Amino acid sequence: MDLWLDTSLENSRKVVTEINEFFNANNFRFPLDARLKLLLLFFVLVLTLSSKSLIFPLTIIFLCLLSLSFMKINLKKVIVRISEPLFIVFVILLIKSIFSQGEILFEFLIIKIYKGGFLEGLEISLRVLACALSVSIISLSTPFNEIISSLSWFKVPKTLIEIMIFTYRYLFMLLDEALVIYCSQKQKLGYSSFKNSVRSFGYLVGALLIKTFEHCESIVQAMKQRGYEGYVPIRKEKSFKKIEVIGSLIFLIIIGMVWWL
Amino acid sequence: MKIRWILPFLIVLLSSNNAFAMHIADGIISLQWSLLWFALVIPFIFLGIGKIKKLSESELFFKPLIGLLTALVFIISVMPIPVPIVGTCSHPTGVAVSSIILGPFVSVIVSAVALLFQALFLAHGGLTTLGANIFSMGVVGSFTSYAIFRLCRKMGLGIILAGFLAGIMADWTTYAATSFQLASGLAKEGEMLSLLWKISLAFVPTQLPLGIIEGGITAGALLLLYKRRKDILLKMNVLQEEGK
Repeated sequence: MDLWLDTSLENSRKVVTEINEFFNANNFRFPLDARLKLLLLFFVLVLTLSSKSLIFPLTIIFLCLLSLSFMKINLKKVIVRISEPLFIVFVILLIKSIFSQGEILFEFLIIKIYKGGFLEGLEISLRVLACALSVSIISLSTPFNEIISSLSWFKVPKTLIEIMIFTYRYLFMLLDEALVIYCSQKQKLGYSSFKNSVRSFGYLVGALLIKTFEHCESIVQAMKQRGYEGYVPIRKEKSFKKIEVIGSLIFLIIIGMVWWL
Repeated sequence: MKIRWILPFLIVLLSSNNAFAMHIADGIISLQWSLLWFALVIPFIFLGIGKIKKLSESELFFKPLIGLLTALVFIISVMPIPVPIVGTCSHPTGVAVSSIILGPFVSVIVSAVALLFQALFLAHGGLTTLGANIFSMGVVGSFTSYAIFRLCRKMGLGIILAGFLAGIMADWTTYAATSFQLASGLAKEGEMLSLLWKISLAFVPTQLPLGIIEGGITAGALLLLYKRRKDILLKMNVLQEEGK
């Protein structure tokens, strides 16, 4: 139990630290207005979900891989990042291939792989991969503040946006606190048995809750002194560049044609 | 013949150290199902936003508090916990804590933002399946845990036991809802029930013990708050003045 909690906290620190890394300036090699990126992502996801052939998701996967190399993002990092969808893809392909009926594609010992199920599984798997890569590209190439101001431009409720801003702001701070409390618990013989570990983990969450309230009180105090009246100002978006709009339209027409094929 | 049925489950259980199998990824369910789940979730989102607006008019700290609690739920739900016996990892939802403290409607918003962050930054879940994931974790998880907690308190159970049961049920009902969403989204005509059974069976080895762990986490968190900062529980109406 001790070992797995250690790993869990280390993993979550790694995961959350990676979020920060993704938004370091080196990764931004996709100079397109964030609103256009989100619009393009929306259309790509809708077209991928509604496509009836394997060609469209394959095209999207190819374009995503091309963009990743253009953006000079380490492919290994992306694979680690999309490990969950990759795992799901593997399971779906396996279950669909084995649990179907009909024409047998090939047989290995007593396991039969059915053609119909395999093709159906492949279709879903490619859709999952295409969507995961598309979302990854947008999130890896767009700073969080740009996503927020774009969402505001798309008229996402202001309250929701404000909560996103606060969440992003305090995410890293709370994770650091979690690690400090965890180390302190271990030194005081926490996590020594299974029952003790569940209790220690509960106390960790409780201690974070207390920290949350304490931070909240001091943060609001500080914000009030700076004129906070319950609303966070959000950056206004500039007008679109013609070349970017035309480029995006051409891209949409091309992928629309591929979808139609 | 039997191995044909057992093999996929064995592979599912043994192939990954981090089986983040909880949120539905983009591309798994069709566009129609995605839209349906979004439609079902939207009223809860707007009711949650309305509630936050109303509460933050009188208390300026409310929005930053929700932001901080969302960050906490995000952190809890990205902690992969290896589940005993089966050797895979899964993660708690964290919604029981937020729904008990903030109420179910605000907890839907907390889940929505946490899920959006997970989809954008960590590729857990997805954007087109955000509606489905908010429904299972945010709506079903939050409302069940809140109802169980309140019911247990009305029956005279202590805050710790009530929190424990709420945590367990938040986790189990979230996974039950996810199983239903997957089965309804993937099944062909007439095979919905058998697929639901298979998917639920695949979730059982990880979620059964994880639910109990989540119950323990919720109870532990409430116990610490009760011991150290009872005023917070009173302020957020988790406890009544004379309550235990």
